[in-house]
Amino acid sequence: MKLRKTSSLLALGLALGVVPIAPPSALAASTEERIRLLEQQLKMMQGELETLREEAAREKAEAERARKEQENKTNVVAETVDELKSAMTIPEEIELEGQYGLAPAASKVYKRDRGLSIGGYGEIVFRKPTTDRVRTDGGVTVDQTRSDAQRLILYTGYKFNDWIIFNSEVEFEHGTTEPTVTEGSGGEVSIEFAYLDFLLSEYANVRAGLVLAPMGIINEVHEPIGFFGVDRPLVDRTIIPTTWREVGGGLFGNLLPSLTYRMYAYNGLNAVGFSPAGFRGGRQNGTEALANDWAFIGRTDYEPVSDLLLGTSVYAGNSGQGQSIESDSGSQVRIPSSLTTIWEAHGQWRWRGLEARAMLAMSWLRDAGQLTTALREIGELDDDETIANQMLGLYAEVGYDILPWILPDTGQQLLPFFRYEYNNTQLHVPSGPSFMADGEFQDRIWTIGLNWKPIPQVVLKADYRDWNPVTGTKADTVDLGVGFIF
Amino acid sequence: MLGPAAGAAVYHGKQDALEAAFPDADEIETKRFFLTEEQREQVQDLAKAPQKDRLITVHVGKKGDRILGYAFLETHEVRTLPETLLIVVSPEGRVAKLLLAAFYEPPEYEAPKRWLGQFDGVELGPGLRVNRDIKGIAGSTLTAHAVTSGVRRVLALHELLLRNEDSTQE
Repeated sequence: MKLRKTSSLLALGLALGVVPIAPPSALAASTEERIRLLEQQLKMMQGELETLREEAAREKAEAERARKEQENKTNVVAETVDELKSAMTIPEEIELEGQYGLAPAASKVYKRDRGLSIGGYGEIVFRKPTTDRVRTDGGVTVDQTRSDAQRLILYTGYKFNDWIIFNSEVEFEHGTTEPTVTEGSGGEVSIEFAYLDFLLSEYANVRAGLVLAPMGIINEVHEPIGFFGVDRPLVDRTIIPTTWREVGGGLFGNLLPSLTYRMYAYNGLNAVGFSPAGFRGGRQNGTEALANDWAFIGRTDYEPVSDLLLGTSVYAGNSGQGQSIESDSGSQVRIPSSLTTIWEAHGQWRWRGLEARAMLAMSWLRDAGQLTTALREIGELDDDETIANQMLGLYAEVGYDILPWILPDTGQQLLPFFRYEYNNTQLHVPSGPSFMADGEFQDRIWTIGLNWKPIPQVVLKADYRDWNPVTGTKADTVDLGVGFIF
Repeated sequence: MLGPAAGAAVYHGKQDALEAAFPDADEIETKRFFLTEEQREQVQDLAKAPQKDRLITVHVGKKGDRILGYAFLETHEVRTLPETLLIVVSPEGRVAKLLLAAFYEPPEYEAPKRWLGQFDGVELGPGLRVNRDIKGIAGSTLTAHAVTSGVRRVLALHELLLRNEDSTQE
C-alpha cells in the first residue's frame, strides 16, 4: 500500500514538475495540456484512493470477522466451563420428586450421589503442673509434665441412597496403642460411633447402631474448636462420661424448625465400673457389652433465635446388668440393679464476638450403699471409697473475640476466656458408718486462657487451671494445645 | 461429633434458581467477566476472602430498561464438600436474595433458612463477619464462615465489576 501511495505522489510531482516553461503563444496550448495531464492524474489518484478505501474496508471487515469469531470462541469456551462448573454442584434443570410420601412440591429435593464423606479432627496437648501444689506419693511426683497426641479422629460416612445413611468415627488416642517405657503411656483405637440413619420425614427418623449419648454440650460435638479450654470440662468426664457411646437406637427429628429431639433405647452402664470419681468406668463402649439392662435416653434442643440454644436431656436405666461376681473369699456377690438417672440442662449463646456456654448435670443412683459394699467385696473399691448416690457438676465459660478491635478487617479470632467449674461426685453418699464422702472429688476449678483461631478450622489454645479440691491437693496446670478439624 | 452423615441435597437447578432470583424479570442476561490477576487480587482484598476463579458469570435480571439485580451462583467448600448459593445483589450493592441451591455436606451442618435470612440487605463492610453482624450457628461454625465468605466475595465482585456499570446506567 505504501508503494502505491509513493507512486501516486511521484506521478503528481512529475505532472507538475516536468512540464517545460513555454513562450506565450504556446502557453494556451501547454496550459490546456497541463490541465489535461492534471485531470488525468486526478482521475488516477481518485482511482487509487477508491482502491485504498476498498482495501481498508475489506481489512476492517476481516478484522471484525476475526474479532467476532474469537469472541464467539471465547464465549463458547466460557459457557462450557461455566456449565461444567455449575453442573458439578447443581443441574441445569431440576426434577421434582416426592420424598417420604410427601407431594413433590412439598419435598422439592433432588438428591445426588456423592456417597462417601470424609472428615476428621485432632488435638495435641502439653500440660505442665505448677510446682506449688504438685502431689507426691511416697516421694514420687504424681503430677508430671506431659505432652500427648491426645486424639486423631477420622469420620467416614456413606450415603447408600436417599434415605439410608451410614455414619462413623474412628478415634486414635494418645499416639500409639503400645505402651512405652513411660509410665501411664499407651493409647487405644476405638470406634466412637457407627450407626445407620433411616431418613423418613423431618419429624421422625430412625437411628440405630453404636450411638453417642445425646447428653450435654460436648459428648456429641467434641471437636476442639467447639470449647475453650485445652481440656474438656471435668463434669464432661465424670457425670457425663464423654465420649460416651453405647449400642442403641431410636428416633430423631425436628418437631418444629427450631425444636429438635433425639430419643433412644440405650445399652445401660455397668455399675461395676462406677467409682467415687463418677460414672466414667461404667461405660461399656459397645465392646462385648453386657446388655441385660437397657436405659432410656432423650434430649431436646430449642433455638428460639439463631444465636441462642437451650436444651436438656435425661438418662434413666438400671446399671447392675444382672451380674453376680465371685469375691476374693469365693462367695458370689450380686451387683444390685443400681437404677441410674442423669439429668442435665445446657445453653449456648453467641452475640457478636461473645461466646458463652453453661451446663448443669445431676445424677441419682439407687442402691449406692449396696453397690459400694458389693464393689468392696469384689475388690473394685477400697474400704474407704464410697459410691455417691447423688452427684452434681456444672460449668460456665465465656470468651470474647478481641481481634476486631485491633484489626477490624481480620477474619482471625483471638478469644480470651474464663471458665468456672464445680464438680462434686460425692455430693451425697449413702448413710451409714462405713460410707464417707471424699473431699478429693469435690473440685472447684477456675480456668483462664486464650484461644487463637487463624482460620475457623484451626485453634491454638493456652490456659491456666486453678484446681481447688475440698481436701487434699491437686496441682494447678499450665496447658497448651493445638486443635484442628477438616 | 454428630457425625458427617454423607448427604447431598440439591434444592434448586440452575434455571429454577434464576427464576427464583428474578420472578418479575422480562429478561435474564448472562454476562461473563474474565478477571485479570490484578482484578482477582482486588476482589480478595475487598472481600477479605480467597477468590480462586477468574471466570465470573453474572446473570442480570432486567425489566424493561431497568436492572433488577445481579445473580451469582457462588460455589465453595464447607468442610470437605461443596455448597452452592444463589446470591442476588441489588444495583446498590446489597444482598437482595440468598438461597441455598445445593449442599453436599451432612445435613447436620446445613445452615437453617432462618439463619440465611440475616443476610437480607447486608452490604460489604467490616461488620459482615461471623460473630459481628452475622450470628454464628451452634454446631455449624464452618458453614457459617463459608456462607459469610461467599457473600463477601460476591459483594466484592459486584463492587469491582458492576458498580460503575450501574452508575453509568443511572
